[in-house]
Amino acid sequence: MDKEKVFRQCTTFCILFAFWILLSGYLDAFHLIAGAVCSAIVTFLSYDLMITKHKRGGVFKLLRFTFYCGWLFIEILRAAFDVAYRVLHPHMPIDPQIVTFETPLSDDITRTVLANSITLTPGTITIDVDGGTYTVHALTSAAARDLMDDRTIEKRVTCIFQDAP
Amino acid sequence: MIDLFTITGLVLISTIVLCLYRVIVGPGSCNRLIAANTIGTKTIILLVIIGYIYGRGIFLDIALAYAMINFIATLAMAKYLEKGSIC
Amino acid sequence: MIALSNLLTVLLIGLGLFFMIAGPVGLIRLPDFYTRAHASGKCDTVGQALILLGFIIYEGFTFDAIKLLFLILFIYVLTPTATYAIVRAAYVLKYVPWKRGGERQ
Repeated sequence: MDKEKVFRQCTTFCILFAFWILLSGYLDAFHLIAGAVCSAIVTFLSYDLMITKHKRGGVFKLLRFTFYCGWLFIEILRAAFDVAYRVLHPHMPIDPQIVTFETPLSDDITRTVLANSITLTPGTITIDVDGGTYTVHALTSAAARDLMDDRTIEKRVTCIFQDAP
Repeated sequence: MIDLFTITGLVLISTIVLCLYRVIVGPGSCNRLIAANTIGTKTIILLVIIGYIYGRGIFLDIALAYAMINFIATLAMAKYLEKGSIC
Repeated sequence: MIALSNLLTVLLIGLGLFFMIAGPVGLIRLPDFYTRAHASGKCDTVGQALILLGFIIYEGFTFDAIKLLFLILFIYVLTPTATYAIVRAAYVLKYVPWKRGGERQ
């Protein structure tokens, strides 16, 4: 227990200090000491927020997450083109509807990633997350069908965050 | 290049004016809040552009801080609308 | 080389500006709150990312470019979350979603 607390504090401190150096850009004594003091204070106040659980296979998850971000970027570009087309079209071809669906995912981070991904992919936006039940607003009926039947996003998110083999 | 940045800034300001229509007219507080959030996110880009036009890197730091402040302000307002109090 | 990077910068900033204009136009034209959230959330995120990417290419590989990259990452995480928070508030406040053939709000 105590060992884990020290591990969390050290990791948080290192991340915060690296971020400080990145943003300040000066490497003289004054700025480094000020950064260390500030990082220490923030670490003391909030070390239990940033790193919740220490699990195995973190590196693989990070790698898969990076690939997923690449796929998501293309999807987001498509989404923006789709919305821009529908907005600028003289007749506005939209048919909005609200759908709900259940997901077996249980982890907090996984659910957050899924909700944000749904918001960014074409034609859908997350309204409410209550436990495993998602309420989603879809701009067109095609987008709603995609989400309910194919479940591409959910499969991909599950694939990233499954535990290491 | 500076000319391009100036034009970009002017176009951004005109889109902010468009958003302002929704802030003033929009029925209900949620419509106003989402338009205000959009104005805030455009302001981030405007800060970066101002930094490049005047050649001052410090505007980037201001933009970073503004992004976080805008996010927290929006979250606080949304929570206030939802629950009637911040705490 | 410089000409190429400048051309890329102009292209990216122009594309970003297109999205930045489409967002507020949607905010004005679309009929109800939820559809406006679509326009605001997506067009803005992509427009900002493209304009900042143009600035990164204009800047080259420097310290400021890393800051701009962090700004893009922030925006990518924060904008959907903020949109989600507002939409949830509207859902709790019982904003009625617009159906096809309904009345503008």
